[in-house]
Amino acid sequence: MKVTFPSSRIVPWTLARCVWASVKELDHSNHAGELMHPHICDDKRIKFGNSGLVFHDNSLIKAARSGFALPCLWSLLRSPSSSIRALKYLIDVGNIHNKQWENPSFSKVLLAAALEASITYMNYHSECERLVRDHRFSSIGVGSIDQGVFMTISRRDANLWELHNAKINQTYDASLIFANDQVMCLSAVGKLDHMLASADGNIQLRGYIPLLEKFGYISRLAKRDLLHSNE
Amino acid sequence: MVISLDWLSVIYFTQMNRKNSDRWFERAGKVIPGGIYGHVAPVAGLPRSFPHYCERASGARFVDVDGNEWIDFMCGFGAILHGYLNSEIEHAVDLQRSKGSVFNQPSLLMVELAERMVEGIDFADWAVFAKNGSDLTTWAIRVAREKTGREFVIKAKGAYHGVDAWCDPGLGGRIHSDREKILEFKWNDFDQLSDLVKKRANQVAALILTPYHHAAFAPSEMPLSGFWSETEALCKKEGIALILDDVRTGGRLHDGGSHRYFGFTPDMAVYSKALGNGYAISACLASSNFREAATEVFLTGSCWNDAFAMAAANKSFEISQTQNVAGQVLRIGSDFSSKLENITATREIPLKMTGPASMPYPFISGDESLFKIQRFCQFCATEGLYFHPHHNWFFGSMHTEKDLTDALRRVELALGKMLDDEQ
Repeated sequence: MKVTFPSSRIVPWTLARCVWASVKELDHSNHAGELMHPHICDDKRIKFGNSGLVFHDNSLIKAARSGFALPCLWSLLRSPSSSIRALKYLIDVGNIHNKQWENPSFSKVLLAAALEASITYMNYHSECERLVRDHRFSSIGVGSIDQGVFMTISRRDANLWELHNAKINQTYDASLIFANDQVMCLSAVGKLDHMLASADGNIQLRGYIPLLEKFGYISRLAKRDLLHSNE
Repeated sequence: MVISLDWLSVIYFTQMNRKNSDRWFERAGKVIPGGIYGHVAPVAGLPRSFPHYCERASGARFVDVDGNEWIDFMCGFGAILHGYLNSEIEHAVDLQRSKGSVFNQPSLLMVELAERMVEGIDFADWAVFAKNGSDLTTWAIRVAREKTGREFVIKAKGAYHGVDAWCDPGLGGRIHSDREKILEFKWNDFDQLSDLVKKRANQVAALILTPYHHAAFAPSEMPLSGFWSETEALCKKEGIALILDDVRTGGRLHDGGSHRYFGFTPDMAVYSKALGNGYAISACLASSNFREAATEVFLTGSCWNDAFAMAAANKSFEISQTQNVAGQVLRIGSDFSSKLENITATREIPLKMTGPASMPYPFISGDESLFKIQRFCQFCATEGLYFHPHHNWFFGSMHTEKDLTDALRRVELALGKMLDDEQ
């Protein structure tokens, strides 16, 4: 379901969604996804899971940029066991993003976060939402040459785009295929020149290219905001 | 409608040598953002199938920097109408070359070109020149604003009119006000157009349209019966300047301007692409009603008086007019397209060449997502055929029977490989 919140909170909300996407890729159990599912609260706070950790918006931004931030202490005390498990996931995800982003074995974790950031912008950033609102094409298969498609971006009703950690369709409107895990890592952390990579074959774009162009533009916009916007 | 990803071959189509192309592109990537940008950026075409750089071209063929020869169906994205290195045009340029290209004042060739074009284009009383289509589509809407004292401009959704912020197809570098006064309607939907005009009564300065809808990544749409006559009448009634963007189409539908192919009369028209047969030049022609306004809207550019381009355009326009080149390329395109459609049909590929025969857009029925046409063009590229999957193709008078027969033979080979690959 689409949530509503002031546009000024797009960055912490996106970061929380990225954490969630990473954890789901790191641990495919339903439990992990539920534990880290983000909820936006009214008081500039974001909660992971139904009774889990709560972060102030600014703390999440700080965590993303410096690698560490404290959650609201009362949330730790309220449900210590699930909070500790959630903290463990957060530390793992933080390590992957900050220290192990070149490790090909984490390529899908990194990619899931990057794709989720774009999708969150497509759903909640007014300008990005407008860019893809009328698009009659609504599914992108994401994968690698060796593995084929392993993630899917698709739009449900009401303009809600979603990331699926699997190939859910036999058909797509467009596909984004990486040459290998290393390219995937570089692309996920925004260290790949998308125009050069698509020319030299490190990224293969097929199908309805304008949809991928919009998706790419939105992903770069999201990355810029996540890295540089003011808290 | 979408296509199974199983159709998406992840094979690299690198049968052709592309070592130099890749090497130079790598160098380019270090000093040019994106390596190659705009409509010829690799990502817009088939990056691992098409070469990145050309070395030379002649007639209807070009040779890339790895020595591969291609039969060309893009004609420099429309800029070549009479053939690469057309001898008559090159001779005209050579004559001027001994005198110089850009001076403090224009050369006499500018006057001759204006006279020639005003005589050849029936509604026109005057002409001005620049270098690119964008230079003059943007200038023309400013002339319309000056003439009418109105602000709004209407265009068809998805239509390309150039690189300026009011109309470019990109996503970046824009601010809200860039398009605040630009209204859009769905091509061919006259009711929607007249509603827009009604809603902005006495506020619309110009309606700018291409002669038919030639959007990229989609089949071309010809005007419905009555669309142009109703549109022209609406503009006249409401005092809106009707601007024809004939940049891409000029010279390929009718030698006297594409409006004559469709039977209407614009107030202003902009030409470029084929006008100089590869030399950079654009022209805006208009009726005398807009002469005074034209003098009030500043127009210039560093090399816009370039006499080489004027010499080329003079000769190119003369050839078009005296040899009915538009008629020729329509016939060439029609013949080739019907043969191509027949060949693909025998392989159960429902390819339809949409739009005018001289510049058709290839579309495979049910292939809105374009996977099938991309695959077809990839296999054709392995046989040295430059078939673009997302943009209309262009025919020129230089496409000989030999070129076209050779091309169709190569299509057969490509289809054979493609079907083998599927099994």
